[in-house]
Amino acid sequence: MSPDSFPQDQDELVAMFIRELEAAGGHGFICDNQEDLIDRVLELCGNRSVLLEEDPSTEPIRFRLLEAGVSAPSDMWDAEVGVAKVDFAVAATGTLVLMAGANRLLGASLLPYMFIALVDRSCLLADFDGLIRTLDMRLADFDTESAKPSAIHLITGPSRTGDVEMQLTMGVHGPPEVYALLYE
Amino acid sequence: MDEFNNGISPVGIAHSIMDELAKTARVAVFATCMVDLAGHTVLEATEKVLEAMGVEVVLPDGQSCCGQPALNSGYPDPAVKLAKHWIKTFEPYDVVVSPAGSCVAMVHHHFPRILEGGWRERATRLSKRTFELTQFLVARQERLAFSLDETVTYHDSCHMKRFLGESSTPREVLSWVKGLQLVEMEGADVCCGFGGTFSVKFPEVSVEMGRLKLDLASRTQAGFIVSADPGCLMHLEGTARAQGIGLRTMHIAELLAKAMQRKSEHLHGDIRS
Amino acid sequence: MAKRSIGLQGRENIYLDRPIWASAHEEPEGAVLSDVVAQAVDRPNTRKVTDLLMAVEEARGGPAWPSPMDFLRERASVIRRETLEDLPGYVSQLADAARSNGMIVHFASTPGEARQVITDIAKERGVELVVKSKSMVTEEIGLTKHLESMGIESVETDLGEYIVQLADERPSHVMVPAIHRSREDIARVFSQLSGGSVRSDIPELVAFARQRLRADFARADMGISGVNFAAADRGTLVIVTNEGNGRMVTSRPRVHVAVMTMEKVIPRFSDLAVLLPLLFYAASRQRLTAYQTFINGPRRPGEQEGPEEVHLVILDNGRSDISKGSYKEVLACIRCGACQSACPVYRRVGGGQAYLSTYGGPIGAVLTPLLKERPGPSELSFLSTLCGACEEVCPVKIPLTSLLIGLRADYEASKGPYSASGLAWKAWGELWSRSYGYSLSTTAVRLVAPLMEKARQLGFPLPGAAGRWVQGRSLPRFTTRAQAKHGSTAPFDSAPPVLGNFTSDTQDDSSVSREEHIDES
Ligand code: SF4
Repeated sequence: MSPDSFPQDQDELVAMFIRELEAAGGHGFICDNQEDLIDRVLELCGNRSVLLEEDPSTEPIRFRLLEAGVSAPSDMWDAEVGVAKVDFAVAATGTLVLMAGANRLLGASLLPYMFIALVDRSCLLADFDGLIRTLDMRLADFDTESAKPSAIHLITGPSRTGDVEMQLTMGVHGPPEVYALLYE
Repeated sequence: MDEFNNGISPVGIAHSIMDELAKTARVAVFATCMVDLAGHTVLEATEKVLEAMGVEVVLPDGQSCCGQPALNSGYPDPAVKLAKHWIKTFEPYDVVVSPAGSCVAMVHHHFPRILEGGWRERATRLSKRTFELTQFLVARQERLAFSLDETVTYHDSCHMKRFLGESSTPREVLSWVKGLQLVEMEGADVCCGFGGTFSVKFPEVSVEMGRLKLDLASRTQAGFIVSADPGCLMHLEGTARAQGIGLRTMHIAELLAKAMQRKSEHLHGDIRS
Repeated sequence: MAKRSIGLQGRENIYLDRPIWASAHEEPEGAVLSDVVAQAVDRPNTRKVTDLLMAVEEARGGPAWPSPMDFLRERASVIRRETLEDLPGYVSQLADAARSNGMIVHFASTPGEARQVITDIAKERGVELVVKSKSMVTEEIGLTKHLESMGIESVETDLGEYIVQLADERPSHVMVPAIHRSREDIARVFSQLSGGSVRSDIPELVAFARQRLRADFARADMGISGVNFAAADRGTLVIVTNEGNGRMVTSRPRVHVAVMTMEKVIPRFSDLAVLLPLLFYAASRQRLTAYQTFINGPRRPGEQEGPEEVHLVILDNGRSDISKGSYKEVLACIRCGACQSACPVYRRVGGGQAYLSTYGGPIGAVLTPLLKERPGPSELSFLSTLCGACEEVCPVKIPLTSLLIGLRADYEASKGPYSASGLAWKAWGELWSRSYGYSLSTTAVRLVAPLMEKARQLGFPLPGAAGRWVQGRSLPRFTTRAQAKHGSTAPFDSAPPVLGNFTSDTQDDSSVSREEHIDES
């Protein structure tokens, strides 16, 4: 997988990411602007309980969810939808990457039935190689242990298993439904 | 770093060298112990085909076994002894041909592994002149007229396919036979379950693996399962007969001998009815 | 009252239908490998496993290494061997890096030490309930059984592992632990567990396990996981799953214990770019599994989630010795399970349980006899036809057949210089490396063989190897060349010379099949 066989053009990377995510059993949508993004999230959430990461950038979403009467669960195990920003996404594999950190809510991508990933287009990397290189550089740069994120999660599509008769079946412990919303 | 290349690395002789060697006027045939003990028709067929190609066949005196049974049973010392004996027996000849893929693989793949120093060099040199029968026939680039109305399926013996790296020459040779239909079975290169001493250490699995192979072969509707390895054939034939399976086995040399003997003969007789 | 697992609640109602030698609890000690193998062939699901694995292999298109996988395979083979050049060095680099990341590192030279370390951690922290993700090393050290004996319930959360835990069995495949169980079997186990009726519909089975195990994830005090790779330079542990239980186990409970065998270390984090895609390709032809979790340590100040403590337990159990010897390449293994799926013997015995070891299939046959505290029989190296299918699919090019041949020699040598078989082979070597000796012994065979055939026809059991050969097979005819040439022994008058003498000339072969091989169909 040589990097130069990959499109350099952002739009093509986005298209590739969506294609690969769908091949892995997830769904990807392009959002034209912030409003569009928020509408999409609301639409996907319906009136289910939502676990939303606290972050300045997600505040408008929280506001609109509240407005729409969507509740936050008292116990995060009861959440039906999780919404979180990703740190990176990989076009060639449809992978979402989340790093632990202050204010991050990684459980949002794991505990609920549906995970909605907010993907800033500038986070898109071309391929898996590039992701490993990027993460490696990041890890080398943190000079104190406390600055290093305790965990980094790579997520490619929904939770699945082949443990019964080697038949691929979606949704075991992680979310059976994964959506990525790409925005600028 | 080549220390890890002792995995599957079929020795594969360059084709140009093989072609050159195959022009020889005389070959030494390594019958193998199994053919000697229980498969003379294979040896005769081998001789017949080679002779028809204008090659003089020599059966070197004193030949016995390549040593593989001992090696695979956990006795490398007697195997080394046999390997050296084999080298001494066949070294005087320009070209060695054998109708047993597994034994040729032993010479190519294991001799250099189990021998040391000068013996290893001798083994490597000699292995470059040692052919499995169909390899030789293809390299010889001389086509006899073969003809046989029959449908067969081909079983790749494990050692010939994986350790000698040969799966194309037997198929090419079969394609020379007019009227012969080769129908590939599913899992043509799946082990038949013989495995030398395995066949008597774990007879139940061995037989079941044989049945599975015969089953896959039967699905092709072929009348015969053809192979280039007497070991597999002995196991498959024995299994088929004891289990009342109609499919019969045939060594590729026998098929060729049959196909040059009489034209368009139907092989079955009444055996499958 | 200690916290009890919801996932395991009701397991005393499960009817255990496995043979005793497949049990995760009973020691398979008395079991004789060849007997077990013979029984395994006839287990009800065995043939289904065979067909399933063959179909999967067929769908995968065989042992192909298309570009760029061939390139990754070459790279990985080099990386893994480079690691083995200085295994202790990389392990100590890893330990340093992991410590500076805030993990607590423990070394265990034996399974017993590893169990002790883990139970001490559990006891000191008042752990009552443990959730586990799939890990071969915890099987190797018999951890679950040990924790249970201390009153700590430990529940397997990988679906396949959960099934075999409920049925009290050893896992039968590295990647698909319950491959030997049909969906109907699993529905039966789940129904008995719940006292209700669970349908044999795969999504329903999956939903059942999801629902049952969620409560345990939420309440467990400790998560125990294996490690797929551990990067020495960054002190990062990598855990991959498809189901998401690896993420649960490493992030929800307050204590995470990661257990690894020392060869899981890799020199550089950047090697993951090669090793991860290769592992997934070899294991299941996936490009990526659903989840890869990179763990750098416990929850950092400011983080809202993650364990308060992360322990790393590194088990040796003879591996440092193996890494210095002629079998070191076995430690290149990345546990993809490809050699198991591809092995025709493994398939035909219905999976790994018949190997009586934690590790089944070709990799198990090689690794088991080498470990210090062996988790299975040492004669496992003989349970292979040496067909080489395993090597073809191995992503790191381990010469499994050559290693098996070496182990067979070690096994025979351990019997001492005067064992019966040793003397017999020695005599064989002497005879067959001489012209007269060879003809002498082949003549003897030709003389004895007809007597054996007669004896068999008369119903006498044949001795030794011949006796085992005729279990389901006819004997070949042993003739001299002259006999064969004159057709004097042609088996059937009307028969063509089909492989001449490999055929039996007995007419009563069918009786063999009737007596000894009752048709299954
Ligand atoms: S030996 Fe090779 S094929 Fe088998 S599990 Fe290990 S890495 Fe995979």
